[in-house]
Amino acid sequence: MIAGAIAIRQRSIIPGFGLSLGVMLSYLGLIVIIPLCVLLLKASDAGWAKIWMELSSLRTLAAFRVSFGIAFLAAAFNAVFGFIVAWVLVRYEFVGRRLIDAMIDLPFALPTAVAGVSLTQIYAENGWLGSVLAVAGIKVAFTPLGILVALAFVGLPFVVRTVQPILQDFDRETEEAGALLGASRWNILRRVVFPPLVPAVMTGFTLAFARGIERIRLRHLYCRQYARLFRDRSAADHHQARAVRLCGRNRDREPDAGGVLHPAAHHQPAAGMDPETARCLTMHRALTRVRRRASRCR
Amino acid sequence: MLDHASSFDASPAARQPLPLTESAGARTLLITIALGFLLLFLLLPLIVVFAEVLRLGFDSYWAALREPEALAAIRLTLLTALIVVPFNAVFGIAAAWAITKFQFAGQNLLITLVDLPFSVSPVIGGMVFVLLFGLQGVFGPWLAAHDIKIIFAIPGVIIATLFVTLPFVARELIPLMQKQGTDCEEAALMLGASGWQTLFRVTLPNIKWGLLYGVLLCNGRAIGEFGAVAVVSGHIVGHTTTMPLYIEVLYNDFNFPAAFAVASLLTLIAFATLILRTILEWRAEQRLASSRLH
Repeated sequence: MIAGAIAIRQRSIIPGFGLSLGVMLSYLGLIVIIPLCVLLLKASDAGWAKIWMELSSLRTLAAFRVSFGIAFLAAAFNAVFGFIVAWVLVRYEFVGRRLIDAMIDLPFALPTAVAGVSLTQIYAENGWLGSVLAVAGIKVAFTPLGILVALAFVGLPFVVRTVQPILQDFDRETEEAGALLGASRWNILRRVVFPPLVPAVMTGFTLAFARGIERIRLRHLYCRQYARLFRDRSAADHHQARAVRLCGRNRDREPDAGGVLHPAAHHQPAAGMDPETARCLTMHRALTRVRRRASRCR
Repeated sequence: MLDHASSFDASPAARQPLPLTESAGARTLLITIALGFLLLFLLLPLIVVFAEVLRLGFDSYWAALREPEALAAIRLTLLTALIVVPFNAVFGIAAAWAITKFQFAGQNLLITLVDLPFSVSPVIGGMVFVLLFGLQGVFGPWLAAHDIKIIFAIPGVIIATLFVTLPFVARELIPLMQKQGTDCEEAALMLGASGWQTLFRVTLPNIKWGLLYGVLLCNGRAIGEFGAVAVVSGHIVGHTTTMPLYIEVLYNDFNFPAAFAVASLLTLIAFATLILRTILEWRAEQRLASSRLH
């Protein structure tokens, strides 16, 4: 095998080709290639006709329309404000510029869970901005507008980071030439500066849009998959374990002290169960329902 | 650029300065818009996290973090990062070595394959492993027969994180090592160094900042990964919930204070990542500038 590899590569005195390529390919194969091939095989198992039916069902289409629309709006929003931010960061000097420049990458660094939780907290009806907006009759959390805000948060760095380097390398002499020829600042911006920047902004827009689509579509998919997983036996096990723990916590603040539950307990509070446990279970089921609805909205 | 403008103004006629920048008013307006936007969209979420923590007070903050389930989540997250980062770092070095130090057919294909986990969305990444190791999956029956649990257990969390964070180190190192070429390694080998000596004494010192940067990004993602881990973990609180999952569980249980306590830890990690990253970038810029001077 190595002899074959040598035949298709140029000779080099550097050793370790077989080892490094072997490590790389086996690791890549185990973690990425084989799993993804299995996914493709499974998808083709389901049959393309069925996949097409699923994709073209009315509900899926409606979901697609909503998600494309929102992701588009969020990306457009980001394109405008991201451009302004990039412009200000490159062209103007002000206090804290470097700090803000470093902070643009925050949505990349901050785990989505944290961002989601704090955005919900801000825009919930009793939240910091949510309460102000509620007076104006605008609801943000758990509505399409909320998704838009979240996507705007996630997509911002894409626009800023694609426009920034182009703007930095921009040849200021063309601007000076425009000024010497007597153009006003606005004309210079419109005729000289903006046209070469349009491709960069469009790239940023596309990246933000793609990221947005992926986020929503997969959230949607994930909910479905989740519901199916619950039919999986081990998932049922874990759900039950969780119910046990929840009951235990509510009873005496001691996890795992909740006693034994009936195997089917997470579907129906079984007869003969002590009323406290039954109450916990009912509450737990209600919570699960709320959670599922909330996660569907997000 | 202001010097330019003023040198043109030297003519006695009171001419308007060249319009090389926007008027002061427009500048202020733009800066205000940009800063206001960033405050609203970037800073506010952070401020909220820490405001909630402050409102909580130190004692209950500490108590929330001392909950056994929170401790388990922190431990699992650290364990995952500790396992995932070295694996992906070794993979990254091997991949960069194979791709950049040799010329062979199919290099570009390999680079694309390395990048694949970035183009596949994390949730799909998680689902793939459910299809492989889940009860109805390919290896599911065999695993169940031998009583090995991967999905809804810690190995699943680790494998999913491996998948998602695989490209980070390799992606940092490949362009860097491509730029550095093979001269140093060839010189070392000519002088009689062995392959490993060349790697440890010549190549690694050359790429250490890039490697550190890649490790940093990989670590940040390994700690914060949500989508892929959410699919394989099953949210068993105290066993398979990493910190991001635990935050979601707490939040959905309406336990906001605890959720924000854990979130503040992750935010601090994100901050540390950003700061280190800025320092590393700044160093790289300086090295570039000094190498240009010589």
